[in-house]
Amino acid sequence: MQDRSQTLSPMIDKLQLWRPLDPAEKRAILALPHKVEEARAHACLVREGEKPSHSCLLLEGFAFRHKVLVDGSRSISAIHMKGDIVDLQNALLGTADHSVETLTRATVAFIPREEMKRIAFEFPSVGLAMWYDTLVDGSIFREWIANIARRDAAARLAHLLCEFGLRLQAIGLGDRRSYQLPMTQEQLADATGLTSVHVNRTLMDLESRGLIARSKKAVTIADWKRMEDAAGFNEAYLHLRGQVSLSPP
Amino acid sequence: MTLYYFHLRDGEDILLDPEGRDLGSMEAIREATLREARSIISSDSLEGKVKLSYRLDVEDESGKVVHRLQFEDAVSLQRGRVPE
Repeated sequence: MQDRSQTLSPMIDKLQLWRPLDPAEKRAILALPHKVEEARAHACLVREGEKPSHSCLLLEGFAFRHKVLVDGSRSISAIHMKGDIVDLQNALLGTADHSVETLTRATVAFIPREEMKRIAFEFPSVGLAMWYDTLVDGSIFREWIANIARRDAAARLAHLLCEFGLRLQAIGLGDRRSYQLPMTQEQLADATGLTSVHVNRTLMDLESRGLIARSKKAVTIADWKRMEDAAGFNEAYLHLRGQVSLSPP
Repeated sequence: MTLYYFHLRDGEDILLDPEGRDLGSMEAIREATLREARSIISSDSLEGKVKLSYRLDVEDESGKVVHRLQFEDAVSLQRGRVPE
């Protein structure tokens, strides 16, 4: 375990994707009161309808936001990774309008919502960076809506794989062209409005077209440019602006 | 937890389900199988080519087939043409 005083540093790294923070602002983030918990895979972090008293920051591992529909089926609306403040909106909104569950084992810091509000106003640059963060979340949601509304199965999955790779690379967790995907086919299906067998067949199709290679959970995007074309992927919506080197493959 | 594997066959090839899925009852298995078949049929129809010669075999962890669905039985087709 690292020095406890640095525990919240993934939040600084994430917010600095949007705005540079000065030393005092960074110290204020590191000094936020919090409690750290280890969560197993498939643990519920936020339950729809609850009034969370804390915002949760992912320090390690992956989580997803989802809704369970009346017929029992599930729709996954976002994937979160290290540094993401998964339910920042609950710092203001009060009642959780969807649930959050871990995809993998995860380490989570719970920060009291009042403290999230306080730091945003006491350190306006931090507040602004958190505002950016929710705006980019919104941008990703819009892209996901376009995904399930208008793209075919192959493009949906190709798009999700491009996004996942770029986001991992942006936070220093890997290379966008080669990474471990912590999702089952069923979860990929719930995130793309497909079904598991359909996901399996579509991944196989992407593989036979030479766009990806897979081995267990490892995904390799063999040809980034062709993959982008297949997905209709344009990274502008992630607003990473040069944070990720998009140099030639 | 009981895992069931959904393998897709088309007479020549088989697309194996590497992961399986936790389902609680035969009814849930039947429903999931039907949803799988219809999802693939609807997506294929958007691309103009529907393959009804698939079959889904659901196996339990011991490899025993517990449910089978021919895609032909997953939808009813009302065929015919409006006379010129």
